[in-house]
Amino acid sequence: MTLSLTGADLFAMGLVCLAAILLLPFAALFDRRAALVWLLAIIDVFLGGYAFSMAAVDLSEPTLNPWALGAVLVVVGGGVAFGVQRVTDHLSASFEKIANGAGKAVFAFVILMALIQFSVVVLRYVFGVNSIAIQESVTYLHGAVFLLAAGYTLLSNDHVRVDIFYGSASPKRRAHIDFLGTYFFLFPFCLITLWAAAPYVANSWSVREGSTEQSGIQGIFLLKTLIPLFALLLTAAGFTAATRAAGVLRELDNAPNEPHGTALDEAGSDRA
Amino acid sequence: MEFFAEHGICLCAGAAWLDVAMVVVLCALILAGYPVAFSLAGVALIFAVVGLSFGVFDISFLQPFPQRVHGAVMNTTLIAVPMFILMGVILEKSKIAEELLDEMAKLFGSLRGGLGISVTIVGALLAASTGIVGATVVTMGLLSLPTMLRRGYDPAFASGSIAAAGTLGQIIPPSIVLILLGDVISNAYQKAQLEQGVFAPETISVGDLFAGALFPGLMLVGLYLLYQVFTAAFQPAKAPAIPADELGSRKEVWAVAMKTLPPPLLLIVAVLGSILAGAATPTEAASVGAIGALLIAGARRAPAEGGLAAKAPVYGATAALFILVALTSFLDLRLGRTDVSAADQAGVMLAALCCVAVAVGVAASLFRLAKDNALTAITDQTVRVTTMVFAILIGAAMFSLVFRGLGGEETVQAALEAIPGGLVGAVIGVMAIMFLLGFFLDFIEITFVVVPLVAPALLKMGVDPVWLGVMMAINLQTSFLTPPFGFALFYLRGVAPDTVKTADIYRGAIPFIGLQIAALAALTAFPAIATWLPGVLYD
Repeated sequence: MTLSLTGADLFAMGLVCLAAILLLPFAALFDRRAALVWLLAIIDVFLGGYAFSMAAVDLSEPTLNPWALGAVLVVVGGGVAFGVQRVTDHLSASFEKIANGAGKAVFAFVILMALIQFSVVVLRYVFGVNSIAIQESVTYLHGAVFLLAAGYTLLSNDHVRVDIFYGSASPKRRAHIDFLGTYFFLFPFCLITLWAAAPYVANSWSVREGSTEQSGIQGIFLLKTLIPLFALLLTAAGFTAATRAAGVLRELDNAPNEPHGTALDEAGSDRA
Repeated sequence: MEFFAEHGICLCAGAAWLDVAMVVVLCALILAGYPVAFSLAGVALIFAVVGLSFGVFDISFLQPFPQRVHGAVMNTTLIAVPMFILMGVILEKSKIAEELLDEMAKLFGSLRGGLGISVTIVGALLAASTGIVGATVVTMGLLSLPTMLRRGYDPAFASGSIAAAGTLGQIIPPSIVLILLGDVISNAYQKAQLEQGVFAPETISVGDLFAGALFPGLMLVGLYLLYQVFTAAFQPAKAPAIPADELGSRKEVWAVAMKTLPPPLLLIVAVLGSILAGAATPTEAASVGAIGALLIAGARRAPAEGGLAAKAPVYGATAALFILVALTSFLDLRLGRTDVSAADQAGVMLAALCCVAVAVGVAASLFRLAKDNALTAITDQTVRVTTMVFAILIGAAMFSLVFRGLGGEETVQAALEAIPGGLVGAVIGVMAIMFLLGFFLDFIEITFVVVPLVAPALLKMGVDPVWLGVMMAINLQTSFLTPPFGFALFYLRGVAPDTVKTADIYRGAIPFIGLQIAALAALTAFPAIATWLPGVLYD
């Protein structure tokens, strides 16, 4: 192995780091057995990395290199050094801010879309003026709305659920569903989206892809960049959702046996 | 469902059954209650991994995924969705729906069964403006159910009327689900024709589907009203009249009604009319609808003590809009021509002035809503509903890519061809499956997941696309009304007072299910109810 750093290595490093970070709420859940969990986590990261390296078509030998290993070690070391739960809570709070911030940023876009589209209608039907660039700007706003607000919508719990059973489930069962769903459904989806979008967006950037129309907005590559952003924001929101669910589970687990000693129990013994 | 899950896992033994197993496992896991959009994608990815390990799935099937997401961004028809949602949310948040219901109840209240009739009519109107079942059922359940019960209506009759009226939202254009369904069916139609070797395929548009759904939708409204009138006539105890003296003078009631009813009605007619006339695309009409709703809300929210002056910008803008339409139809206002007559020049000036007036009115309305802290609530809800819809589209795209990679399309086609009875059997089979899926999936999920799978095969067999879309819409609407799982009944249960028993709600829905089935039968016997209008309008 050589120690040269290519773009593919950087990308792999990022992905593996992300995967490692995503395991934090999981680790925080089992505070007492953290060592075992971390061992599992590391195995999982390597397996995941291996799967990625098998799957990646445009990225040659991306994962099993010293850089990625180093990145994982930094994340793992950081987690161990500063306390898994503390790191998780801090990250969760900042991720929540990021996801919600992106969601709130697009509030104005829906009104703007209607106003611009209405102006297009008036210009076209009354004055016979057509502007491709103005029409395309509506498309940009449209894409930004649902791609940037996906994480926010997850945290505000507005993605449709089938609540025949969920609606009447206990808080503990709900937390279990949210927690497992985040790991088995949401995170794999986000990671695969990042993996699939990387070459797609990279190609678009390399030619600075623009509109198919001469007078359109020459920023399709920026519009396409929203796709990995969508996955990242959703990941951030998923991290927060998993941390919340883990918090609920920990609280419920610890509630009955207050006197024994984890961090949350100490808070409990204050009450007693 | 557990049984099926176990069954699904058993079937995994044969890798060829992975596609079927995927659907079965999805149905089981989706019931756990994790957001549907991500359950779809997650289940798909789990099966992609299983397929990879069996060597029956090629990872390259996942590569077009970003292209699919980008397609959802660039799709010009789907841009109509957030704008229609904006229009609906504005109408809902500015209490225009409430006022409509109130006024209708006063207008018809003195008739026997009058409250039921007003619920049906408002349901149809609201439906046309928002197209979101949950919102309509909840609004009307909260507002009308207590009134109807207080006036001595039979709880079953009252709750059935409300739930049924709430589901009208899906079938009466311009509903959001019809836009989504129109987009999906038009893709399926092109695909079916290409596979048959037609390389200049005919297209169908959202406008076609709107036109096709108009008469069946109105037919349903008519059937509901007939049922309510008959019930009131033959079982007066179920739907008594409100004594006339409690309603105030007729004159006053009419005066208020004439003030509150026309604006929303005009808006709906303008939006729907411009689409059906082919003058505007659904996206353009949706923006007009959203701006119109904004103006109505601005006028409603103006402080009463301000009098006419407070409403002047909005009224000015409305008048300016009418003048613009009139000017455009009588004069040629196009810019950039060389010889322009004096009349046209004056027209352009006037039109420019009108535009300024409209801008002032819109700005005043926005300012009004912002001052009342309503603007953030409106945009917030619009963003969340829009994102919810498109997240399902994205999750379903992932699901369909994996399903295709596992050979699901061939399986569906083979299954449909294997159903005895040929085309009729296949249609009945698909409708039955969709009806059952309607118990736990919403219209949007079914549109994005199920329709792309079954529609191409059915269309290839020669089914009319507009007819198929309308049948699917009415079928799902029936499913949402059917106990014990119907969505509309759930929503109503959530807001109904405890004095209304769940059994009452179920019992009240049954006659309406009968009417729905009658409508489906009528459409089957006379497909022209759906296909006539689009044929006349667009051919």
